[in-house]
Amino acid sequence: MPADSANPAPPVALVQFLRGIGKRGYVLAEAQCGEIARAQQALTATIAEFRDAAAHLPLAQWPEQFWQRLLSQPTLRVYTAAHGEDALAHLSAGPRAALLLRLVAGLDQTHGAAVLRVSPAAYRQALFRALHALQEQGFDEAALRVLRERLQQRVKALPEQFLLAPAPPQPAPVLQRMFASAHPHAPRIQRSSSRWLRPLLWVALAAMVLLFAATFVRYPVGMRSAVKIERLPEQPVAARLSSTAAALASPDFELLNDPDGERYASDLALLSWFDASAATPASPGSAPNPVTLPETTTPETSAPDTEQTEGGRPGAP
Amino acid sequence: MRRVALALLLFFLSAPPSAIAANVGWADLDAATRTLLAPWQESWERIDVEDRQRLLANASHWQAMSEPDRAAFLGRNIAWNALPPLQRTQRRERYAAWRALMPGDQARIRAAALHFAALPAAEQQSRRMQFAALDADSQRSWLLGPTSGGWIASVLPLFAYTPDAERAPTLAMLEALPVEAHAPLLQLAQRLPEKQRETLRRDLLATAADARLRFLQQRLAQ
Repeated sequence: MPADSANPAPPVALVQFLRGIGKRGYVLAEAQCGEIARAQQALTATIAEFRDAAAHLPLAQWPEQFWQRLLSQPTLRVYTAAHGEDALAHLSAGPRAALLLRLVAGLDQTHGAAVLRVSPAAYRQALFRALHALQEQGFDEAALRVLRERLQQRVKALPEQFLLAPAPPQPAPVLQRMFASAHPHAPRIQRSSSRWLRPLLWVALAAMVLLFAATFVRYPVGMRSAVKIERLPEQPVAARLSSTAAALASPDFELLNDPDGERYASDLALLSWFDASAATPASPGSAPNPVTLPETTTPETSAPDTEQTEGGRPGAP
Repeated sequence: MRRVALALLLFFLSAPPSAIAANVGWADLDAATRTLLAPWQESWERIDVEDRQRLLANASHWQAMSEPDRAAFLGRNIAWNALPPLQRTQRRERYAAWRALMPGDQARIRAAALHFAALPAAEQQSRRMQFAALDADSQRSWLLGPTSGGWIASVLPLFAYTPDAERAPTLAMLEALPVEAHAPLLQLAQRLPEKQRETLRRDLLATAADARLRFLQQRLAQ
């Protein structure tokens, strides 16, 4: 690490780093705010900030610092469901960021907590909250796996030159703009071809529309008879896992292997409360060790807890 | 219930598994394990490291079981799979909370279960109704066990206006506070008006975990 600090990485390393992390950064930003334009804006600002800071940072800190800067962008604070994962709209910003750091950035709890500048316990709690909110929307393990796959596919689907390619509404390639000040003589994008390119693209688009429309035209009667439907040969039923193998593959193996623990767990909250209140019989609605509230405190409600708003709603943590 | 299943955390959100399991190839397995995991032989090298680690751990447990235990396990597995998904999720969540308890708290829960079972049916029902009358956050806090649950239940009303985005970190912070910090925080929070109490919460959250006790003691001495 000291060597890294003493010898700042050259711009080439920085470009390679941003190429590697940029697509994931964009997908995380898009999923965090739900809007393409704001995601691009956040990524652009992040790269600009990171470019200045990276020269003074050891390489080992680059990923953490990159994600930290990205998630601190003001444009990511509000979620718009228009283009994002609808399921994520029901999460508040903190838990959503914690979840995306795991699913998109692939960070473990230690690094995720470092990025969010919270303790690992707090990060874990944020994950709990995110998963619970998803669970309330009907998410199970399979659905979460699909969500993760979809986000990762989104990363893969972006072109390799994503950060370098001119993509509307960006007026200039992100990386080129980022390094423009460092390389004032860098070649600019040649736009002279746009005079003939634009009409050509319109012609191509029109041709595609015509071809698509043609697929709705019914075949002439004579042609229909040429279409044959053949039944596919019977395939053997895929081998199914034995009951033992299915048990071994169960994600609930540990729970199923601990029936005593599971029995205690089923009434855990009740028994905890009962144990703490056993010495002094509790009255309905009270905690065993009630505190005297200041006069300014309004008692919390027993309304169901939802996470629709970003803050200010009464409710205990 | 606001926490989610341990399984979700374990298989999607846990830290990367150890390098030891990551490097276990099919040829490295003993004959008995290979037989048990035969359905995965062809795909072994392509299986996610986390899943591979889980299969190995489960196979190890399985080999240590007696035949009657294995039969009982399979029976429980059938019954488990017949449960509605939501019910399974809730039970996973509670089991995760149980596993997270300190041994002392687990012992208290075992004793409490015996005590509770010895109560007359009518009193059991009365206790259940008293518990059900608690608000949702308070009920959930008791999943942390009798020690932490009691503490959290005591301080939750004092931080009733925590913004949503800070609720999880605040709850985690409260859970992690050392026992010596409980009384100072309660005294401070009870004497402060709402706005200053919110400032105290934010300051405490911004303070390093190992400095929070000193922070509270200093604030109390002011």
